[in-house]
Amino acid sequence: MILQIIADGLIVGSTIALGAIGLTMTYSLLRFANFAHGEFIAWGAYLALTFLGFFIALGGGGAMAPLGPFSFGWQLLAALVAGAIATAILALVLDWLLFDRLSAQGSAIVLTIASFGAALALRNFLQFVYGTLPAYYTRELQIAIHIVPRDVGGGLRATPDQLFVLALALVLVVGLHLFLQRTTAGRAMRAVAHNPALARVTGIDVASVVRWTWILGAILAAVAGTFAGLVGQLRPQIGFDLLLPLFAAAILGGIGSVPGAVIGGLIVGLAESAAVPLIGAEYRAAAAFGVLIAILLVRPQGLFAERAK
Amino acid sequence: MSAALEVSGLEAGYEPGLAIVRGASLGVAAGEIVALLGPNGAGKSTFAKAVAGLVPIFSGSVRLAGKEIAGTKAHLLARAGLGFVPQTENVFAPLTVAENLELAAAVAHVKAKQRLPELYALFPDLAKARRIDAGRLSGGQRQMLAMARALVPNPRVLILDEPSAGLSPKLVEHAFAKLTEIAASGVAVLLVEQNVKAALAIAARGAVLVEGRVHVDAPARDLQVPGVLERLFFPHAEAAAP
Amino acid sequence: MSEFLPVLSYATFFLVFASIFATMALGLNLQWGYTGLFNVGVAGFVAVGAYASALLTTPPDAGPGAVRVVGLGLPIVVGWIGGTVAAGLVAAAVGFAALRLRHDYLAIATFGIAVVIQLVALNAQKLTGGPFGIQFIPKPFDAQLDGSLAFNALYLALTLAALGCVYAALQRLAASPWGRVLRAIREDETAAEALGKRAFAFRLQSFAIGGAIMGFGGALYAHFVGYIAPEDFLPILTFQIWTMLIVGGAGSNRGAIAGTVVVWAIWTIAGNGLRELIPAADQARAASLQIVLVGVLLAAMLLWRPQGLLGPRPSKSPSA
Ligand SMILES: Nc1ncnc2c1ncn2[C@@H]1O[C@H](COP(=O)(O)OP(=O)(O)OP(=O)(O)O)[C@@H](O)[C@H]1O
Ligand SMILES: [Mg+2]
Repeated sequence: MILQIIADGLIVGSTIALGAIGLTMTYSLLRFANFAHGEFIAWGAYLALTFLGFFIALGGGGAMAPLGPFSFGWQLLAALVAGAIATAILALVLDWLLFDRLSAQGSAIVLTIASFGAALALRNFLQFVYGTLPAYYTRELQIAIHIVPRDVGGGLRATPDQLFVLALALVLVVGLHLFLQRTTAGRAMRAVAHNPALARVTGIDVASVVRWTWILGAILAAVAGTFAGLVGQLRPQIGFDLLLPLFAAAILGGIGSVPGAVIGGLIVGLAESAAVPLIGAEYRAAAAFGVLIAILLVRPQGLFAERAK
Repeated sequence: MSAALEVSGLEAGYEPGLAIVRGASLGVAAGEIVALLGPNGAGKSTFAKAVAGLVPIFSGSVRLAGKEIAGTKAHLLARAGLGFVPQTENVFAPLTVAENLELAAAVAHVKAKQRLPELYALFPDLAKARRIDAGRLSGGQRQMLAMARALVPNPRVLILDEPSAGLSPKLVEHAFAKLTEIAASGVAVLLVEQNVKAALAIAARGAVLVEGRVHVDAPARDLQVPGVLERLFFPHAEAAAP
Repeated sequence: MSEFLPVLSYATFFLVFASIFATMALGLNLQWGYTGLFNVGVAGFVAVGAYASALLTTPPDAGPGAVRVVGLGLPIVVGWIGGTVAAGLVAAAVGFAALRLRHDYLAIATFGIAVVIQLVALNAQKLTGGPFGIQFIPKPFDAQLDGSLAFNALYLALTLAALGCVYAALQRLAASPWGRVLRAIREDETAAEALGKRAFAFRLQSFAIGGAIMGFGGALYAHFVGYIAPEDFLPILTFQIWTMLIVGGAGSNRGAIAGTVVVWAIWTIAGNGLRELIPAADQARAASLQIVLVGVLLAAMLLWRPQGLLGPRPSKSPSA
């Protein structure tokens, strides 16, 4: 039982972590809490659905031939990439239309209000386009494999799709970490997050770094959304429901810290899955709020704040 | 000979219609150190930031090696040879010393492999600390890193905003000796300072900024006469006295 | 004469809602307009007020299949007071956790509390009736009046009086030394820091009172409609109140009221227009489009007229 709770928590947590990374990066670079980030997740998931249909039609229609043990074929991977690119474009357009103009006017909190409005508009537009019924990438049934037999810690079962999600999330996180630590573009992002004025006099084109941050954040959000849709189902509220866990994870990890967002995401995921036997599945979503309030009261700067002075 | 940095009639400020620098003119030649002095709130930092492209310029001209640069974006100025060391928060604390310098080199398309050893030779303290996060450096080391970072692209002009602030007299001496060395290599240095004595000791000329205008621009030794600066800093003091 | 009755009835209905929303917008104006506190959980505080008042005044479900087993059947006035106080207490608790911190943490914490309140409303069936909500909430003078027009008119008088009282009280508060301190805290970080712990106390008071006013608005709503359910308190409500305040002009109580009327009118007209234009099968989608429209209105307002219709001229950006 306990092993299964941990495994479920890690799978949910890896989705939260991917979303929280994007959130923490835009938060620390652009200096506002972007409530529209959840909608990038939802749009990413649904855009992937649209592209999936396109790629399946391209391959002659019919059903998608699964890859190995997974429930999906190459078409979903292609759709994941295309959906992520389209979501990045969506984020850039939103920045150009709204956030960039507002940040020229000054106050960060006005950006937060605007993002709240943008979130509702985006979510409802999504509902307008796709309707409110749940959707699925694939109807293929998945059989959970026994990874740990039942007599050890209650046993552990996971579907191949879940393991795929976990593995790809891990690859993305490690890749992103290396990108931020080793490459010029990644270091420039950290530099801008730390001190935009100093970044400018150092010769960094802050506007371009901001654009790349939107792109990266949106890509990770789209991947998170597609993962959530793959191991669960697609609903228009998929992004809204993740928003509170994302914020909890980002603050728990310390705003601006990518490793922090990952660990925060995993902790929130674990808290959610542990909440199910403790307070009931219907209150699962309250676990993130509990984590959030606890961290605000005990250590508001988060576990790994990067903004060391 | 045209000066490396030539500012004339500069008006600049943070909000439109609210000029803080109000028609200031100043020139710095290659290899020269000019001290920009003035009372608190005179607009010295604003002047420096406006030249560096961080504060909007309303009117006037700024020439870098003869080329008009007013209105150019700060990051392009940095790449074009204008180095600026802000007064506070002038290093990237979460990055290591080496990463600070490598980043500056990469964005200016300077070969770090070549340039960093030169800077480490100029600032041996940094060479020892290269793997340490800049946020954990001592005050003196941090100031050295800030200078080194600004020097990475081999700027023609180096502007420093109160580099002596918060440093012990011994460290100030050390830092200013480095500045003399830097100027001797042909860089035009504009030194914004509160520490008048130390600044005039290394500067060729001193300029006094009061209420957004340069009131005096004179050889440093003429300003070192006791009482002269006080009168320049507070021109209204006599009138106000009974 | 009789053909005017539906119009009249609709007009009073429209105005009752407008005055209830305006009351909520005044609460938000105290928090945001005067104090610079960013509350993304307006719907949550409104819900607390509505549910608390409903529970105090409505008897539990009767019969063998009863879902909701809590309910007191007290007078409506008690419900209004109880709803106001309950929302104020919840606001105080959230404020206590988040107000010492960066201003956007308050936004996130209030967002979170609204989510949790929504969860409780949906799932604590014995208390809240779950998705079915609370029905047969008593309406004032319902027994004495016949016909919805009479009730609507009477309730309009009530809500207008309530709005007038809240407005007058807030105007007085804003002009008092307490109100001046709030503005000083909002506009000048150094002043706020100089006040230190007291600045926190001022913010907390403002936030709690604002939350209480929202709760009062929720209570007014519950006893007008007579039926509340979790879906009445979704984030869209928060968003509507925000748009009303921003359109009217944050920082001005009169602006908050004017903005409410304007946005509520736009909302209603857009809703009716879309229902006309879009075929019946797609009505649910029409509702989505209505929200998109108001979202665009909010964004446009922030971009092109951030001070709103009646707001004070921007001296400096609030809490930069
Ligand atoms: N970011 C800012 N926004 C608005 N006004 C500013 C800002 N920074 C400085 N000022 C104002 O500009 C004026 C000049 O400030 P500045 O920092 O340029 O003076 P200074 O000569 O460098 O003073 P000091 O010797 O104290 O460093 C002051 O009145 C100050 O209040
Ligand atoms: Mg200064």
